[in-house]
This record gives sequence, structure tokens and C-alpha cells, in this order.
Amino acid sequence: MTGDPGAPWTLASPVADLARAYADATARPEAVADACLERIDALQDRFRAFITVSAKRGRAEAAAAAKALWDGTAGPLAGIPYAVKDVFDAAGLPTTAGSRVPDDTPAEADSAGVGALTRAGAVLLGKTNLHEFAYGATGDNPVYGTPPNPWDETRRAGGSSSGSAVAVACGLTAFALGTDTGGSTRVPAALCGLVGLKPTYGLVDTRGIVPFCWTLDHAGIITRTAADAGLVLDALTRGRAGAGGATEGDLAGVTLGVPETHFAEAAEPAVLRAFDAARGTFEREGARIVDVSMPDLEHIRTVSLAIQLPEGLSYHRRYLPDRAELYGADIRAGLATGQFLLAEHYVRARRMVERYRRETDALFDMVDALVLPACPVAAPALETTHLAAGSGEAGPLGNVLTRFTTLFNMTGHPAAAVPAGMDGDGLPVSVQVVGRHYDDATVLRIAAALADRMPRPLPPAC
Amino acid sequence: MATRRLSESTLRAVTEELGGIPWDDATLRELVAPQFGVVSGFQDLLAALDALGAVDLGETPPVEPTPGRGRSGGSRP
Repeated sequence: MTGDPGAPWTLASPVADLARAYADATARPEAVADACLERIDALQDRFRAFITVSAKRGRAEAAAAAKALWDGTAGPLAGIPYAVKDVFDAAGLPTTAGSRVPDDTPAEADSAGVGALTRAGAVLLGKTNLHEFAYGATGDNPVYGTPPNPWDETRRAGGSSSGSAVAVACGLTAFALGTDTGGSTRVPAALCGLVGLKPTYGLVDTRGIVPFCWTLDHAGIITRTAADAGLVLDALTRGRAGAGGATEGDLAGVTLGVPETHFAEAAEPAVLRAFDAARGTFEREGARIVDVSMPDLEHIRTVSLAIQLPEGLSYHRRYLPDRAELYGADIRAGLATGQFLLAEHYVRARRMVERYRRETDALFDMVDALVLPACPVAAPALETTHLAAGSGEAGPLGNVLTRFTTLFNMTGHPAAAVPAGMDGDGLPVSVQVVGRHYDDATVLRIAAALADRMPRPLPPAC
Repeated sequence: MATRRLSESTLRAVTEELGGIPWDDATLRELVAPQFGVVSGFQDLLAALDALGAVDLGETPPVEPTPGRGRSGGSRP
């Protein structure tokens, strides 16, 4: 049933199609959950998407969803299988953060995000792999293994929400939650050919998530379509986002801003070709496109580090006296660096963020949204640690992958990575759409005009 | 502005004299001679922070949370 294109649902079905199949009784939540769990078991050794599989909880939630569908009390995501990055607490399951540092005591309660999805009727199938403590965009994890890219297993899936992206790309779940501090939802979504939404800062409650950097942390959503991201966002915000169903229609009356500088010269040609094609799609859908001048981003990496490292150290200080040796060497060095920065460095960085926010806000007086590449490269090889993209200098891979995403963690604007086709090697490339604060619905409407018109096959290896 | 190369002994002295976390030698060495590339060396970061210090921010205050943000910063057990 699950591999038959004529079947009422497949493992590549978007959330909306699965919900319709439940509504007309051509699919049952228990059968879908069982098929996904079987698939997780079959692909785990190859793709390492999960750290913990919650079969017992998932089957119980699927049975509850079936009952609710039968008696007419079903929530908007009833029976939809999903996973969460293993920084979200889920009652009864340990929260590892992809590390050996936390103990394996099960969480006593759901995080706010998991709780909201449970109330909406969704079915939690497990907790996904990540870069240790979300500290990095490469997805490296020496403890639980580094998930490879489903489109080419010799390539990286990106991170830090690596397992969440791989789970959705492989059809193991219909959607997944991640987090995004510098691009950790959008980068893996971009490299795996998915929609990755970083909602407006603060719109989604982050209580019960292991923090990395409070100033920049966002919850994130990874889906196959922009419409699905709207449904999940509405469930997470109890409808406050107004994003469900907002993805219909064309882009008549919408003005999009394309940055004049900084982005075009710093991306690979295949990414720029896909961006140009996407620009054409937006224009055919009725959007007007204008050039805009972005803030000066010369210091953005420095600003990001001057905030991330002290805030990260402040959280991890609870573990360091007794468990420092259990951290990976990369994150331990980053936390140590945080100790030697001066208070004035941190305050200055936060003042720069205020400048970035004001200057980016001003752009939205002229445009409804910004469009730019999401990631300057397609998925790099697993062994890549440093990379040059476009005419930019070679740098650490994590810096390169987040080159176009970090700004919007600072400004808090909603931003989505959106599939924009494939490069010559058959790897996904992606466009980013950025909107006004709390106008996540417009971001998804624009994203839908691009992503939801494209076919959504599973990768051949899946 | 920093004018001398950072040394492991300086970092060790700071942790001991200012009461910081007693990092092991390998961790302090990574700051002085980086191998991992997540942070491209503390010396480079200090230089970048010096450059950032030259930016005239006028009376721009530190950023505050977006109005209406939904988190309350709950603690973990």
C-alpha cells in the first residue's frame, strides 16, 4: 500500500493528503503509524535519523486518534505521524540533546511544542538525531552517528536538526520539529529538499526545549510542503499564526525584495540558477520584484559568536564541573571561549543585533517579503570540513552553510527554506523567503507558490 | 586592543585568578591553536571583536525580545 502511487496515501503524502485519507476512511492512523515504524526500523542503520523511537507512545496516540476521528472529536492533526529533534522534552522519553552529558532520566512532562501537537492529535514516533546540543550546522555527531543525506548517502544532510530532516525526506514521518539558532532547521531542510520554517521569534513557545542561546533560539518545522508547515504552525500556536489554509492563490499584489549585494557573489552557480528560476516563477504568479539593500553584514559572524558562546556557557555551567569530559571537543572549546569574552563584547553584540533588526525592519516598508538563496551550496560531501562558495573565501563548513540564514535569527523575522529544484548532481537546492514579524502566513503563501507546485518524490535511495 | 599573541598560560591564569571553570589543557590549547574550525581560533575572534569595537553604534541600545514572544524561559529538571 505505501509504495503504490495509486494508493490513498503513501509515505511521501503531505499532511493535508493524509488528513483527507483519514476523513474519507481510506486510511487508518494505526496502519499509518505501523507502516512508518516498520520503515524507521528498516532504514535506521543506514540513515541514523532517530535517537529514540517511541513505538509504544506512537501506537497509543494513533489508537486515540482513530477513536477521535470515529466519534468526531479529532484535532486538526489527528493521526499524523511526526518526530521531534531530541532537544524537545516528551513525557516518558529521555532527552539526550545528541550528547552523553545529560543523564537518561525520562522527561516528566511534554515540552510546550510536543504538548500542543498532542492536543492536536498528532502521533509522536520518536526523537531525532542532531549535532551535539545543536552546536553546529554540519550535523556531525560522534555519539549517535552522523545522518547522511537521503539524496546521496556520501553527502551531508546538514544540521543541527539533521535527523528531523532525514526522517521527513525518507518518508519516516509526515513532519518533524527542529530548532534554529543560526539556520539549524532551514539548512538541513534546504540540503534535503524540504520546507524548513523558522517562525517569528517567540511565536512558538520554546519551553521544554534544551536551550543553546536564548537570544537566537527558535523552534522550527520541517515538512514536505508549505501548506503542511502552515497546518503544523497553527497547531503549535493554537491558530494564532493564521497560517493554515493561507497558502492558496497566486501572488498578485505581493512585492518581493531581492538583495542587491552579499548573496549573489557568495553562492554556487547552481544555487543562483535555481534562484533565478524561482524568481521567474514568482513573477509568473503575479509578484512584483524589486532590488533592496541589505544591512552591512561584515561583522555578523562575530556578533553571532559573541552572543552564542557566553549564553551557551551560562546554560552548560550546570554540567561542566562534573561532566566536562563527556562533551565533544568542539563544543567544549566553544564553551570555554565563552568564558573569556568580556561583558562589553556581549553587550556590543546585542546592540549590533538591534541595528540589524531596525535596518531589516525598514526593508519591510517597501516589500512584503525578501527572497534570497537559503544555502550557498548543495549538500557537501560527508568528509568536507572547510569550503569556499561562489567568490567567497574558504571557511569552516558551518559558517558557509549558515551564511544566508543567521541574520534572521538575530532579527527574529519569519524565514522559510523552500525547495527550488535540483542541481546537476541530483541534489536539492533551495530558496529562502523572509517576512515581517508575525506575518508567517505570507511567508508560507509565497513558499507555496514555489514548493507546492513541484512534484515531491521520495529520494531514490528511500 | 590585544597586541600580543594569546597563550595557554594566560588563559590558565585567568581561570585560576578570576575563578573560572578549570578547563583541561587540551581545551585551552584548542583556543590557542584551533583544530576543529567551529570557532576559527580565539585569537582571530579577539581581532574580530576589536574591529567590531570600532563600529560607531551611537545610542543604539541592546536588542530586546520581539513584542509578544511566547516563551517564558522555563527551567529544566
